[in-house]
Amino acid sequence: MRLLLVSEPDESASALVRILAGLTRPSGGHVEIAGLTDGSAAGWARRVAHLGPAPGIHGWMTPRQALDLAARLLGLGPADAQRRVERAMAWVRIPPGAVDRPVARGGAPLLERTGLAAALIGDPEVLLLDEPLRSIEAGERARMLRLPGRRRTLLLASRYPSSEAGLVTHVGLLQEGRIRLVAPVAELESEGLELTHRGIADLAARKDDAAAATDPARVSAAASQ
Amino acid sequence: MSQGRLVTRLAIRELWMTFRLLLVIVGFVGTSALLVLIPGAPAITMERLAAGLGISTVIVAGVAGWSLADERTAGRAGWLVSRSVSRGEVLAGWFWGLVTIAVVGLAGAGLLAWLAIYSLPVTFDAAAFVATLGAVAATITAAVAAGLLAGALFRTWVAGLLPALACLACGVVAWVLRPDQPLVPGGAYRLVAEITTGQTLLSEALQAAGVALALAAVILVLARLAIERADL
Repeated sequence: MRLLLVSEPDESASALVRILAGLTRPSGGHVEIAGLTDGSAAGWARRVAHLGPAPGIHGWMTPRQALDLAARLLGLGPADAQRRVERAMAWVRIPPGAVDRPVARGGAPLLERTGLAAALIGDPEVLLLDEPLRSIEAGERARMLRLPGRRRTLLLASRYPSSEAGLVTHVGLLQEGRIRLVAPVAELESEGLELTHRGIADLAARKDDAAAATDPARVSAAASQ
Repeated sequence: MSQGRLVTRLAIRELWMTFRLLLVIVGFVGTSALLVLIPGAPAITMERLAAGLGISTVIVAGVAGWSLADERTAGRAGWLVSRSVSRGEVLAGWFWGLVTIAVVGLAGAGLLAWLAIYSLPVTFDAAAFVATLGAVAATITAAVAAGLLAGALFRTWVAGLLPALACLACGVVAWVLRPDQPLVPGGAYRLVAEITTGQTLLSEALQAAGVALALAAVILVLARLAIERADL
């Protein structure tokens, strides 16, 4: 499943992704991923990866150093780490000439490619993305985020839903801190709506209307009037 | 290698690449180098050393606060946490990284200061000198902890300035309250200043070290609580 999450207000989708990634503490409630509430390494931490708008990699690091560090933090053995680093670098297409140069010299695109590669090192089941890879061309970005593997969930918070067309399979609307809608993109298309913030909000409104029309309590109340 | 050691090495490397490591080392070693280059009366020499070490400690506190706040706001601490490094390990990594650098600088400063004192026409208790430097090292750990607490709570400029000012205030209080107040945080520096007078006792130095370590422990607990709630 690849879920695009938009929100009102705009920043709350990012806040939810950050809470799920353990970067922001919720004011109440708890996070449960894959049936686990323990966010430590023994819980779901190693099954989840996060990539935000700023990848958080030291500018002086080379892509290889950053990925080696990511592998060592996960406790991978040298051979396994080497294999995964090479595979991740190949997936995000880090140019061979940039592999051993500081990421700061490669600009935002290299930083973002390295950030995604680092997120993929642990082969996560759930990938939490918060406005990721904005400096990379749309087609290449979509290719990079269309990760192989069946048991892979991608949650993408975006303020620009139309730019995620072709990438996501489902859309979600977070309104005033509550999930108001989760629906397949196909449903959006069948309603003749566009993959935009307004289109998703309209779909949520139509589904609410449809639910209200079939709610027995509401129907009988309307009939009695 | 454990995650904590990886974070410590990363912290030291970050400090090196951003010249903050040099700032800390030069602060300590430069102070003592000046003592060797500009000889004076024993009491004045030791007061200069104490003031230099105090200023260097203020710098360390500021660097600690700035560094952790910068790690948080730039998303680098978050990058570690999203790789299943606990927030406590991030804090501990930076604590040990900064303390290691500062203690290396202090060791260099102590060696040069020893050479400077050795050339003076005074006798002093070597054990008390070493214990006094130990008390200074303990005070540095408290300053680093204060910096990290500020770094977990505030943005870079405030996180850099606030602990530096707090340490400066402690130093001034310790200086004003002389003589014989080793229980005041910063009292170790006064003991350094008086090392050649023969009034500095081993027990006073150990007391000052104990006070500083206890303070460091309390502040570190607060910093741990603060970083657990912080946005990374």
